[in-house]
Amino acid sequence: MPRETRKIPSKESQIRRTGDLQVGDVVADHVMDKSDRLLVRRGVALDEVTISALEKRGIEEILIQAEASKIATGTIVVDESGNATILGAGGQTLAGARGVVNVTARVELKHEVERLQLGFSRVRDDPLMMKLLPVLQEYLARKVSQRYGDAR
Amino acid sequence: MQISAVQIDEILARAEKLPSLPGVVRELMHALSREHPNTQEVAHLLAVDQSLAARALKLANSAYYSQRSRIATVQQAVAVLGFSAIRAIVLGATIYEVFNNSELEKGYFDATEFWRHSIGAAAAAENLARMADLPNHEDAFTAGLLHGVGLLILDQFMQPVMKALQEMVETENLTLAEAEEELLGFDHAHLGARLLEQWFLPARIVGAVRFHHYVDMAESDHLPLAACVHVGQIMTRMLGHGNPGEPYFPRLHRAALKALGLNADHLSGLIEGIDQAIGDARVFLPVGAKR
Repeated sequence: MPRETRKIPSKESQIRRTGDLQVGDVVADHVMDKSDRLLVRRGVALDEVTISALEKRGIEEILIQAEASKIATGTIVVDESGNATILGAGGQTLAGARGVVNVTARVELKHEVERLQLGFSRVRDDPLMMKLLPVLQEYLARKVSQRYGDAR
Repeated sequence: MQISAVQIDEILARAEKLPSLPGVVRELMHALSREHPNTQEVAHLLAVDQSLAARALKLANSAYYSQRSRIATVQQAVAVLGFSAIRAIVLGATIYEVFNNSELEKGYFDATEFWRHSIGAAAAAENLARMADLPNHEDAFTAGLLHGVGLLILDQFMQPVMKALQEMVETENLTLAEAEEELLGFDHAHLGARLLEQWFLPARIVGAVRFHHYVDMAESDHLPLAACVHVGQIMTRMLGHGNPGEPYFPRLHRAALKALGLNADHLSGLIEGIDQAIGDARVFLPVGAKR
């Protein structure tokens, strides 16, 4: 299966105090401790455990991606180019802790997202059907992630 | 172009190359339609057709049925698989051969996608029938497998109609069944049900196929099985297992969910199990269809 790795492009970032961090905030640059040991890699979406660990390590503030906050686990994010990414278990992006992107998974997921969006396009006024859409999206995203690995 | 419902017969008559079932298959359908089919008789008839017997043995020894010891005879295979699975093997293989006949014109459908959808609907319908504790859950598999056979008839014997239907789906934002109702006055479910009647399928399976789009019109006897096929085939579409030739998902009929005691929350909880069942049922794909 052909794979390709590349760094996540840097996005507009902002400094946030550790006490103000929220689950889903994405780290814009590596977070190091005072001994210069790596604590959190660039591109990781923070979960509660990681935020708590940063506070315990005395990290006062970190650089986060400005637009990436408050994204729930399992959410499929489709950027302007049509590339699809999901947040996996623990809030990490499919791009993963190492900041790499599994292109095969992205292509598959993009296809699934488009298929679901087209399939559901006639029933957007039906609350029952629309209740199933996010559940299906999350399940299929998890399935794609399990099939191809999420590079964590 | 408006064609009255009476003309379903004309469509079936026009399908001159559409088989009456091969002799041995017809006899098998007769034997399987009895209230208490005879294992020996079914095994004997199955053994007459070597390719069907081989498929039954292969399936009985597959991981799907996970037998500890090797199944070596057709009679053992019939006992392990059960009559519904035998019916599914026989009909699946026969219909696949019939509609992939090289003498027929190539239709609009991708055969592999169609069969993946049919097998998926079969497994999903059976899963739902088990969940709803229906007494005839194996019939749900057969009804799911055959629910789209009317589409195959339209696709291969009424190609101008099929072309018009495809255009209506694309330009008028309709499902295939809605386009059929508008253009023909009936849908492929009714057409398929008529063929299955001619093929001696049990009335409960014919009824489930006939009403799998309009579940609320099913008689109470047929309602639960039709509901399984209705919900099963839509869930299969949503999960991306094959495509019956249209991009849009139909609405889930409230009457179908009610008949199965389901709501949206229940369905959400069933997604993974249904997907797993569909994946396992790939062993039923007819020989020649890509897995």
